[in-house]
Amino acid sequence: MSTTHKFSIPYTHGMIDALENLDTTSISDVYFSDNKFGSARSIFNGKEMFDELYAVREKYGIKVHYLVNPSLYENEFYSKVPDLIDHVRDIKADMITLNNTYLLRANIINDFRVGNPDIELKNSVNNLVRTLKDFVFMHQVLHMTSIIVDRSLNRDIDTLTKMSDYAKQHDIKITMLVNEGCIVDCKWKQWDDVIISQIKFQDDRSVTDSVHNKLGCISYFNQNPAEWLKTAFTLPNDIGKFDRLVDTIKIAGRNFPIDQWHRVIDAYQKRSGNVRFGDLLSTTGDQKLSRILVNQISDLGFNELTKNCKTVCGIECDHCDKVYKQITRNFV
Amino acid sequence: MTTISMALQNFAGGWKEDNLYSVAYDRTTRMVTGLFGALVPFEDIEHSDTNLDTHYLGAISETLYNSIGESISNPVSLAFWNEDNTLKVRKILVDTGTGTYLDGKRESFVGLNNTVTLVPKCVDQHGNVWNDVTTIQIKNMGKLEVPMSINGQAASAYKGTVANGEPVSFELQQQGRATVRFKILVPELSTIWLSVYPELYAYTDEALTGLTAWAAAQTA
Repeated sequence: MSTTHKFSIPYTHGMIDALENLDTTSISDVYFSDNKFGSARSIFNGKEMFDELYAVREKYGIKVHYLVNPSLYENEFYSKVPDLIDHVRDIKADMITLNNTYLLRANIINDFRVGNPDIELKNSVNNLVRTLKDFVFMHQVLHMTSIIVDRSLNRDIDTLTKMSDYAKQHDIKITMLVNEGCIVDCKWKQWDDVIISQIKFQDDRSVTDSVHNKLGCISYFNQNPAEWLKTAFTLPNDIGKFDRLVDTIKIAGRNFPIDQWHRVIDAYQKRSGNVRFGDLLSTTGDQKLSRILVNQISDLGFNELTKNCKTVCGIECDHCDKVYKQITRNFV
Repeated sequence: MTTISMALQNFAGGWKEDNLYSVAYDRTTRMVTGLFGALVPFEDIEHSDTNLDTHYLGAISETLYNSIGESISNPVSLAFWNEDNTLKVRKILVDTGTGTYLDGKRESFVGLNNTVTLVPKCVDQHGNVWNDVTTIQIKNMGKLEVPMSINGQAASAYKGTVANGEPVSFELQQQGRATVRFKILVPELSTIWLSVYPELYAYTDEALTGLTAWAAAQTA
């Protein structure tokens, strides 16, 4: 395994021009979803998106990676599986992320390979591969050879090292999602996933959006600002800790404006801390914290404190609370 | 009007000559955290953060607007509201010294013989060196993992100091990227400090030869 990582980056409109200023040789794939089987069924991403994706692949050799993340989709989903297989073939995807563990166990990869013999398959981060047992299960039972591990592993190098040792023995590739900023084992996420899997492009989301904004992580982070620091992420100037452990760094940000999208990918590629915390994560939180540079956070020893902390916040550890207080006292 | 925490404000191009402005500032740190303008002064601002207070400025110049806006949105700059009702703006900047250049592609400073010379300085809103600050602290953010000599010291000494506006040299001892920190304490605000984190890059021998040739051509 190389000590330099490949990057899996999110699709954002206008990315083909922005890629000119990034290191495209280290980008393995661009992932996206659509409103047919994808996890962005509230967004209409049509021909214009596919034209740009194919142009990116043609110009830079970056693979086109289709996300099928919804857990439910609809009640009689399994009758639609032939349509899914046809759709993956029709959109000429090089890679696919699928979180339906029944389809993974059924070796659906073989059906995808009828349309594209070289297609690669990954599980979803929402499969929550957190323990070594989970990791072995994904390989031995669900036949996965490219595994996205749980977001909590950003702060658990011990377990990640065990997974990496197993992966090297069995030629498995590991992907880590580094900047989602979701709460570890979030108690709201199952409801988010239900909405994601059921929402239609034309739906009126005003009531749901209102509930989520007032009672979900956005308001929680605003009321408890330090909690945002306790979410599962790895800062760009700390991804060296994944050298020899992780093959692909996955970057969140499908909803980012193109300027922010560029800043975030550039920071991870350069391992630079000169990017704002609020730009980095796909969740939103406290405005004071949003303005802080990653360097200002890591300057307080944050990377060392969280490298292997296993998210034992509260009783055993309050380092993030201390970092937050020190940051806001000094910079706000 | 009630202010709440929202996404980052963008001040670029926002100044209006006819607007009347107010600043919000933190009662404890005295740092300006908000800038509000309207055609009529608002007298009923309530902040969701009860530690914030507001001061009415009235009409302000575009230069001052941009300075305050930058202090809110850019960590290298800060504005603070003093108890004597005066506003101060302070920035920490870095100039390049002898034999040092900006590699635009890498967005990093590079230097002949992989020695980068930078001139950190703390300035006011007019760009004048702020003499209240005499010492600027230096830190190699990579510590011993990214060895460099700061002003001729051993690489094990990853911290140092330099006078405000004076050059400091970094002899990079490992190929690749490095980050350093310049930091000042703000005398008027006992707990507040300003910092900037320039990134340096040490070339390979081959790239260094190219830089040397290019630099010689500039002066020929």
